[in-house]
Amino acid sequence: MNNAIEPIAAEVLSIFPVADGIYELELAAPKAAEQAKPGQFAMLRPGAGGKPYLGRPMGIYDRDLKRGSISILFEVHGAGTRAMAELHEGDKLELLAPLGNGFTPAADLRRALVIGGGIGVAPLYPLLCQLKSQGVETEIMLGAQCGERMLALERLVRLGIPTRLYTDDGTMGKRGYLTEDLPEVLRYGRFEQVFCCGPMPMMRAVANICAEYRTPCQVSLEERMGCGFGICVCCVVDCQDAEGNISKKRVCYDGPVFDSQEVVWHA
Amino acid sequence: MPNLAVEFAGIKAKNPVFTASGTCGFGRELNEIFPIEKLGGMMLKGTTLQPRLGNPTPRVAEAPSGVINCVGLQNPGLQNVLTEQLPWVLQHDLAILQNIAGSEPAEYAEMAAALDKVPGLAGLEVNISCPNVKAGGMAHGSDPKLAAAVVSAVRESTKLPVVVKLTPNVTDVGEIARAVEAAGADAVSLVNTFLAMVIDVKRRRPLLGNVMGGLSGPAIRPIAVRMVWQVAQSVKIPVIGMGGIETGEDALQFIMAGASAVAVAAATMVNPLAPLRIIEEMDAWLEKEGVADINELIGAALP
Repeated sequence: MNNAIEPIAAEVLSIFPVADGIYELELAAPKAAEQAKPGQFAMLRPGAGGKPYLGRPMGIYDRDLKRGSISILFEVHGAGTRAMAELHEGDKLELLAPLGNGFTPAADLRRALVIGGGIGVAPLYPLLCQLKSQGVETEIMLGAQCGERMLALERLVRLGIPTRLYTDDGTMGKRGYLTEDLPEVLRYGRFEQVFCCGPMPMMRAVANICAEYRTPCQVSLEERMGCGFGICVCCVVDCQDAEGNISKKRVCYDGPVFDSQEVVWHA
Repeated sequence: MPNLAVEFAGIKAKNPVFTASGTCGFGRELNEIFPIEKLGGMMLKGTTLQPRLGNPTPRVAEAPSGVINCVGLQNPGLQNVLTEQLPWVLQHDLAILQNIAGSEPAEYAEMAAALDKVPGLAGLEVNISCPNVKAGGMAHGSDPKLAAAVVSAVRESTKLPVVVKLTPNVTDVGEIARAVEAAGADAVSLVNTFLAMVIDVKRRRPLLGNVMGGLSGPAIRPIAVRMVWQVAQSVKIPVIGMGGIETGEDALQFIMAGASAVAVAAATMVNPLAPLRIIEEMDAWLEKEGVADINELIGAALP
């Protein structure tokens, strides 16, 4: 699965805020840029002197093969992401990438719906690029707290894929949750596959609606992670097979992308 | 080239660096990153008679210079280990110890008997020190009588070398070490993690799914070195040292404190190549200091 990943000291090529407390970080990582598949992630360890101790998992947002770089989006939540926000151009940080299994659009996929919530749009952008180059008719539904936190818009505009926008406060697009419109979109959209990444409550709602409309849905999950490559078994999620047998799968190694039917969605 | 090969309790290893149980699975994931043959050996994931799902998430939290986990021995169970895991990992040329955990001595004995017949297995690591399970685990390892009962049961069920993994969550680790030595242990390994917890102040609740977890990483290293030093003087059987080893010099501290081999745990989580770097750094240190054989350094700092 994760062949020949190697930890490197990656140089910061650029870092800038894209919204309040949200940053875009570009790292020199030619091998990772070449190998990364849509939906894969990176473990980043920003601090000197072992602070923080653990790496932080971040979905790969973009790559630039000419510059030999990958980009990620991150939001400052705690000490680890605060240390990342303090990075400057030229700083180095430990990077392990690309990790995990990405999205898997079928080769003969014709119509896809891509649903992102907040910063969850990050790992969806490489997928959208792939769907476009595969010639898949794609539509996007994007939700955020407010217009200012609607991320990746410039990139999405360049892709020219039809997009519905939703904000909690109505400062951009329609006011409300995108899940309110999802049943209707699925009813009339003839989508063969949904791809989703966002906050857990949103993904749970999307998974339930997709199940109701019998549309396969791939979700990219998040969980507190230890290693990022499968050895510590910390970042598990409850899964069930067709017979209802429960198992705990690793988000980092068995995921982060799962079929939504496989996941046990706890309330 | 200095000699790095060590032998303890009849277990031969090409170098003294092992990956500790719980931070190397059954070897497959690490082998995708580097050939596991480069290691002296591995203590495989703690296994129980029946499969275990382990504890609820979150199972991991950041700590100052370390990490707290409460995985709770999630494992596929003995049958799966016998048929799927061991046959794969034992194709590789390194010393493989299977870590076993149970809720009573009879369970440990049953597992030891089943593993006794596995060709190529270097030994057993008897886990009486997991802080994250209700039955067994640490409860067995903090009482000398219970510890001895588990070890006696295992001893009677196998001819394999028996390494007993000790918990640091006791007043006198030497007393437990002497008890398991008297019960027939061939070696002891220490330390397992220190019982610890974190409060999520925003939620006003314990952060970890199992409330408490085990602290590991560089934060515990000086305490682990102290305990290895004490145990090395309390027993005659070999000691395997572990606890926050990140560099070749960290490993040498444990060896000079009396350890015949060392195991790397948390460092592998944050950098999968850490065990290899530790081997290289030890090798370079010996070369630079003109030490021909690592065995000359075992216990070098002891009185």
